[in-house]
Amino acid sequence: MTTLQALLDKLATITHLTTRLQAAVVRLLAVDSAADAKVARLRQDSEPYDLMGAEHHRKDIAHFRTEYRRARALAAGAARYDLESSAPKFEHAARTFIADRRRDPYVTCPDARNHMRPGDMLNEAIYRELRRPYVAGMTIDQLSPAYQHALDTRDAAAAIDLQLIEERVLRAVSQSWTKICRRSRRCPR
Amino acid sequence: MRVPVELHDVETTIEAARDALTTADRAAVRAINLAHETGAREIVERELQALEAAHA
Repeated sequence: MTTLQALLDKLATITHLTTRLQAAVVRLLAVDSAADAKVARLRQDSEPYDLMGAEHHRKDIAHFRTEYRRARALAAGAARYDLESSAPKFEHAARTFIADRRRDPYVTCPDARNHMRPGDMLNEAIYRELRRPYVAGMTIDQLSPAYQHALDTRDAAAAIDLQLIEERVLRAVSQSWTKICRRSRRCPR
Repeated sequence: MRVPVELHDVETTIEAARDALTTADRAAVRAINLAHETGAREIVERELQALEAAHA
């Protein structure tokens, strides 16, 4: 499982690679003006060069454009490859991490498992299964106070209640969305 | 509430990366794996140094 620090390191890398690609593309698109500026600078710095004539300067501009375009296209291509090969992995890792954290009631109740021994863990698992049908049978009016009570208590039993209530609410939301989607498909446009 | 503050902007980062890739695509930038184009490495490194210098 990815740790927060590892994810933050990847986040910094993606930010850096994104900035690099953006800058590389801007630089690639500015090839013509860079070549023009280069020749203008050369003409300004050297009188003999300035006197070589417009035809010579045009040739040099064309040469610089080709040279710059090749180098900048390579740099932009390398920057694209680096970002393209790491962005999807980062996105997957970040979404998985965030989803896991959202589902984990022990983030809200960090001390719930303090001093637990293997036997206590078994009891916790049994309690969760005993509690499940009770939470499933709660009315809407009962769910909110039960959730609030769990948030106030934050012990092992509270963590289980948080988990079961959240699972139930998410399931209900997901079923509602499915019904809405089915209905909207049936609706004539 | 359970998601660390440091990750609150993660969607913005992902979106920015997607936008940068789309822009590169529109500019006809072809992805280049330097591991397969050894001759290009030196040129790319020089260019990237120029980029970093421009941004510093």
